[in-house]
Amino acid sequence: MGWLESRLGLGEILRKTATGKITPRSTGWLHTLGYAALSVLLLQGISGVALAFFYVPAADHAYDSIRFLERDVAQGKLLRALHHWGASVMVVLVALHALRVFFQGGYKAPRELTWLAGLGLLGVTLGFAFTGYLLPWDQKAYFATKVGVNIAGQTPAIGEHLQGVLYGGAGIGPQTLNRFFALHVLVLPAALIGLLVLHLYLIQRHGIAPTRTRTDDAGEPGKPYHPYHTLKEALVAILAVGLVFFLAWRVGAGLEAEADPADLDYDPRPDWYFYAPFQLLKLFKGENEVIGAFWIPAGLGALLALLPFLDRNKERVARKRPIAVACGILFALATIGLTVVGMTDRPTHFATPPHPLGATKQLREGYDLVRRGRCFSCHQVVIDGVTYGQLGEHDEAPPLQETEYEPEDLADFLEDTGMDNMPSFPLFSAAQRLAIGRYLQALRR
Amino acid sequence: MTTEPSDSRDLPTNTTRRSWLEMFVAMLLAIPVLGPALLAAWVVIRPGKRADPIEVMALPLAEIPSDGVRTFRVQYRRQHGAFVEDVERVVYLRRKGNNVIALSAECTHLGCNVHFDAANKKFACPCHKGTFDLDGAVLGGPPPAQLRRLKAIVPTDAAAPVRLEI
Ligand code: FES
Repeated sequence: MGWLESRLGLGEILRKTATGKITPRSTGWLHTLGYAALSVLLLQGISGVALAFFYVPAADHAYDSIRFLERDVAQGKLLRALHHWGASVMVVLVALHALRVFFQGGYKAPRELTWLAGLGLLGVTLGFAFTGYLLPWDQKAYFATKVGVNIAGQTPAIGEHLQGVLYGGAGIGPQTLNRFFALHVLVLPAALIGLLVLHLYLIQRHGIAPTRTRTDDAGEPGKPYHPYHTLKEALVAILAVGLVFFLAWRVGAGLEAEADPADLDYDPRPDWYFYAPFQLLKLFKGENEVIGAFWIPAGLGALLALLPFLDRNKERVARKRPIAVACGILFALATIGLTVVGMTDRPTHFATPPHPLGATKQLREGYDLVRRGRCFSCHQVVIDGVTYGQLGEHDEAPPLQETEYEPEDLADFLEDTGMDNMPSFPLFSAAQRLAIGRYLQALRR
Repeated sequence: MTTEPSDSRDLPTNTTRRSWLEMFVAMLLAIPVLGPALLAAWVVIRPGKRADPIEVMALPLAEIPSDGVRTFRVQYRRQHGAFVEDVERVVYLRRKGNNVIALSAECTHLGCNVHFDAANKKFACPCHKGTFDLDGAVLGGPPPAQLRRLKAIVPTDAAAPVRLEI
């Protein structure tokens, strides 16, 4: 140890910059959120690298590579679920951390740049979440990305061009996956590291802001950073990472059917953290669309970036800054409100049954064909007590789990049903019709 | 007399020249980075070529209803980046006299697929609840424009399929 230290001098640097520093007395549990976010970020980095060992970033293999990982690799499912839930928890922690800084006035001089770098990190976090979506190349990936990029396309002047750059061609297509992969694993990590280094450097340069006094000097000194505050940080970080593991283990990450642009039965929904902007979009109609898609988000971003310069009030205590605090509360409530409305908003469309993940290839094919044949537009199906699909004009269409045909007979029947209300499927091959029969047979059990 | 700070006397007289030189050399140092960066940015963000329209076969006129719509899946092959992609898109066909109205299922709002609500004779979008009438005009919700119409070429021979331009 002594030998290493005399050459590296790391311990000395640490003592001077971080561990030996005295924190202000007002430093408490709320000051641990940043470190917790950093821990989950590391989890994301590590699980992301592991995923990259399996993932094939090409549209014709991406979905299969994920399915292989989920089905044939020991703990592969857990690995992907960790990365999936890590993203959610990361968004929450970064947002809470930003709120903490906002309500405690931590963005005020001399920490304006720390705030800006932090804001950049929030943007990068959302960027990771958004670009990560597309990579599994399932239905959710495909449609959520399309909606997202079309929102970017609303940007005045450069919108259309920006859309082309993100898509990598005319409209969304296989090349888009590669663009998003490059953004997700190369561009964003580079931006992240730059901003993170700046953020951490500035925190170390200016120290933690005391929250009960106007200036830094008047803050009463508290205890050394290490091991007193670091203990709290470690506990919260363990809790955060533990939560990610728990969610990954209990809930897991969903994988829908492979992306199919021609699927009419699909009702795209983003993940919960994009519900607020998703819901905002519904509020603006026709010509006004650009307000919800561009001006409100852009205005909000600009407002947040300029916050330390607009808010010249030197007070940090919430009670003495009524306007700023009121704005903050309003913003938080609006976001939560929109998210809740987004969650409860019933889609105009019916739900489709879950993909028979892990079933045989034939059953999965049958499922895909049943959806392509739009069977759920007239037939309902009850699986595990949940009803999917809708009844069409002919409400006598029998529920699919009650079909009595043997698979082979059903295949024959589908070729030519001889019925007015029930379409025939002569264009499906015999093997395809048989796959449908097998899928329906499996539904009966 | 100038009002320069007093210690400027100690510095060499050519400070301005020197700071110019410093700046110049700093710029030279940046060139090896800027050059490749500009090239990379140009390659990535340059607008792509516009694709030529493709003609695909749909159904004969007789199979297209006039009181409802017929869902048709157009299939064609296109180049997307380095990929040759087999595309399948949904088009709704309706007969109007001797013409065919072909509407792309892609919602003009943000691009989800609208579906046909046969009971109410209108198109509904699952994403943000946009609705369109049989001709594709906006009835409600956020969509800013009517559904895109594809050019439909109706052949004189009634049994021959209608062609669509994508
Ligand atoms: S995409 Fe259709 S209403 Fe928004």
